[in-house]
Amino acid sequence: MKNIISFFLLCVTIVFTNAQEFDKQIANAKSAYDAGNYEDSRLAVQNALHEIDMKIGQEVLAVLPEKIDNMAYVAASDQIAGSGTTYAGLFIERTWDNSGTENLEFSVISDSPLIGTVNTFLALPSIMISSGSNQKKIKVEGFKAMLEKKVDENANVTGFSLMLPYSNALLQLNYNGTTTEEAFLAMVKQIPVTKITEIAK
Amino acid sequence: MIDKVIDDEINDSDTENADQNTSSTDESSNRPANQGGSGLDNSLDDVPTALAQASTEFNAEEYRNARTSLRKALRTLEIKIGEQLLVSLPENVKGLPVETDADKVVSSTKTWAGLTIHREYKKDDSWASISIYNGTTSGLATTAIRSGMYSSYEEDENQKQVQIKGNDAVITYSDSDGYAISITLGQQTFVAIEGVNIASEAEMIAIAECFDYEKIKKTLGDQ
Repeated sequence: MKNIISFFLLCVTIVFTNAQEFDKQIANAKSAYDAGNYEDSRLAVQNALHEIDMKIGQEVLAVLPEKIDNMAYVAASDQIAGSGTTYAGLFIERTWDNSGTENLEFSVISDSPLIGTVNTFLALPSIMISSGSNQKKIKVEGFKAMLEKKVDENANVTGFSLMLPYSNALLQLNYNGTTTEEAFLAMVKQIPVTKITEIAK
Repeated sequence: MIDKVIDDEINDSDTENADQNTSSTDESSNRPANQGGSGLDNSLDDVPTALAQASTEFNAEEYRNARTSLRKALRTLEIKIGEQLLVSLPENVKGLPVETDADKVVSSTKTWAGLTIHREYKKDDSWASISIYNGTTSGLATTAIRSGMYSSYEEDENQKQVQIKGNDAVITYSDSDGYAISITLGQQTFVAIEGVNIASEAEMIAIAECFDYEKIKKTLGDQ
């Protein structure tokens, strides 16, 4: 009970701190703009955007499962980077791991330069995808996505990856380990894709 | 190899898209030629209004909307900064007058290359341009030049490191593209100057020295 109360208080503190910082940056942006100092105003707006990205990132991490199959999420690996700290805008990452034998990495990157490449692949007619390819198109909760099987030089499966573009963002899942396509897709089903696309649009 | 069982639904939608593409390019279409229109409204958003909107949306926990409002404010601010910078650039570099029609400012909200300011100069066949990039990716280019990443392991007679008004730079030459100078400025600013039909390296460097890099840095708030 004590832990739950502590966690609740921590969440309230984070939200309050975020709101305070956001308001401060908006006030700075306004006063710098009124003074004709566009560069300082720009910096304050970028900082405010960063605060929003942090909030969005926290909401996405909150809807992700703590366990996927036998893998538990690695709290220390949770990452949120907002506009101004990465070239790609918002970046959210979580990793699930099973004692080092297998892991699954989740990420959302907004404004990713890879979006165009994936969209081009998804727009290809199925007949144009080589039969020897390890890539194929699938649908996840109605979204088109690129599924790729990773193999080593002996054609042994070393993992799977999924790239799902939506709006101006790219959702990626990267599994490292030995499993089947069906098992990987069962992992994918545990990610609330639609909800994430609504939060981090 | 992954089973080649492609989702039926995807095949269906691909077929539909193909049908739509065919009909849109059909030459027998009765679609009339466009006789004109007022085009797109590219006016800048009012910054104080966008900031107030963002604040309201943030407090209502509408984070996506707040982000959109802030990006509108950011675009306006960056366009204004770019316009200030264009005004401060010379109107003539070593006998090449400015081509104001080619002036361009692109906000970082539109491209991952960061805030971009571009100007061109031209006389007869001689042409030069300056492109100023400010943002985090520009920081990567800046690091690359300072760390010598642009230097190849083999001696390249068409590329060398130089200094332009005390700033680290790399000059390159190719018969097809002419001269190019890449200059690092401050922490996050990268300047690319190109020259076509410029007689010599010395002349290209003289063109690059026409610009006030301290002013560029100051306008962009870089150090």
